[in-house]
Amino acid sequence: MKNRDLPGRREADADERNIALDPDQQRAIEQLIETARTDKPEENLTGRVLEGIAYRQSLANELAASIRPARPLRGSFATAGGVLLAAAAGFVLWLHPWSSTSTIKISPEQLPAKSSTFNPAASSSTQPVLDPCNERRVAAGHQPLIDDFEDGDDEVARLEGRSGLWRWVRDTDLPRSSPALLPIPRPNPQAGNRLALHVKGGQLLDWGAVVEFNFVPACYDASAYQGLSFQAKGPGRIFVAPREVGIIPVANGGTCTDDCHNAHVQKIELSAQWKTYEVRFSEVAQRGYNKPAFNPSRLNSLAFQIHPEDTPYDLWLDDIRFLRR
Amino acid sequence: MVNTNTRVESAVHRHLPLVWRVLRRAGLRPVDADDAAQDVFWVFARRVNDVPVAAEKSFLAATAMRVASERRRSKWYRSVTEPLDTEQLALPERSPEQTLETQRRLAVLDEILGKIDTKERDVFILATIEEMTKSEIAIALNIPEGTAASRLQRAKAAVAAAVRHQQNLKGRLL
Repeated sequence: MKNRDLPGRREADADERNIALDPDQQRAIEQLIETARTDKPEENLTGRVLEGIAYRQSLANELAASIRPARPLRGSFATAGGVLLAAAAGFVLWLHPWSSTSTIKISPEQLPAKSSTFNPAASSSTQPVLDPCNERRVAAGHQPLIDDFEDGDDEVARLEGRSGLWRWVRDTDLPRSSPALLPIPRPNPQAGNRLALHVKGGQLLDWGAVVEFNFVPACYDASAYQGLSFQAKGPGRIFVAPREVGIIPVANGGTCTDDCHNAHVQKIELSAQWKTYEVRFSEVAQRGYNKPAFNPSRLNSLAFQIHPEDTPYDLWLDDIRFLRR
Repeated sequence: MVNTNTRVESAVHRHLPLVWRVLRRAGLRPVDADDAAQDVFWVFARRVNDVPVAAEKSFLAATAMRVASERRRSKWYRSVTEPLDTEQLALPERSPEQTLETQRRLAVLDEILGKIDTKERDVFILATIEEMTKSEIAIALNIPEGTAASRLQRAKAAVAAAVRHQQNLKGRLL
């Protein structure tokens, strides 16, 4: 077989024909690219970026110093000391109710380099980071069902302390305006398996769409399980993303101050027939260099992501479970 | 904790225009690109010891792509009362006519880039505007060189189609 007869060669030829432009069009593209090459930021941006990095570094140093654990005092001595200290402070305030406020000096807040847009990563650096996993719920590993949708509601199955509501969000939705997501009858319902989740939509151009739920409270320990399984069907592919607390910005209840929303994902190629898929926690990965492995003891939410290149989309999901070890 | 060392400073001086252009062509407004550029170099400052000097440019381009994508994603968390984009930057060394013409061309290019697949667009930006080699692009986007080449081919076809469409629609492109 000659090279030119190969399917790949034919596609390349088709691409070449698609690229073919008349000289005016070609010149226009070249002009656009040339203009883009000369596009540059304001002269003073270099200084602002360097100032910003120095400022963030000082904040990070302060934060690191402030969360260094203090040496604990011991039992009853600490309690007694605390009570005495509180009593003394109350007595002083009772004697001089205004003295404490009259001596307060308010120093001007140190502002970072000019920043006119909302920046979760930067703003969150000034807040103390409260780790939601201090109050996590823990899966025992005996009841793996997350949701089979047979109850017809949008809440995940209340098993092993799990709680949360399914939602469907598209990149075109305004905040808090995403459509309701309730199970509907499967195309060929069977006894004991009548309902499933279904989302369908047109072309999306930004980040796509997602079917997801957040664990309530915000941290769930699923380390008793080794992964997830679910049934799905549809064209294209989806990305399954068990999300850790560590990728959720502080402003949204997580602990992330850098490289947020970079979830551990696994790509799943769907088919036109229902199939059961398994995703192991050891196999999901983040984008980028030297990224840490997924930690299932700090699970915040579970998402089925549809990227814009996989739209229009028509996704069915059912019988979502943890995988037993 | 990472210090703002000379390597970070020199990377800012050398690569800021590239990072800013990638952020802009990846769909951020000028004012967003300014803030996002700071995010990109902050990521670099924290990981400077993990990034080989030879991979600096690729790392920064890749981080810029990701930061741009996250910023678009974080629209969800933003107020809908965001101000209108009235902050088009003037280029002081050019005449007003040239500045207007430059802005118009950039707007046309951004409109075209906004219509093509994001993965193909990323390769197109790095290859044609930033003139990065296929191997640099492959490192930056964590894809095989062959994939970079085929995405670039598809991106060029998509840009050509968008140009033809625009010309049919408006009678002329520029």
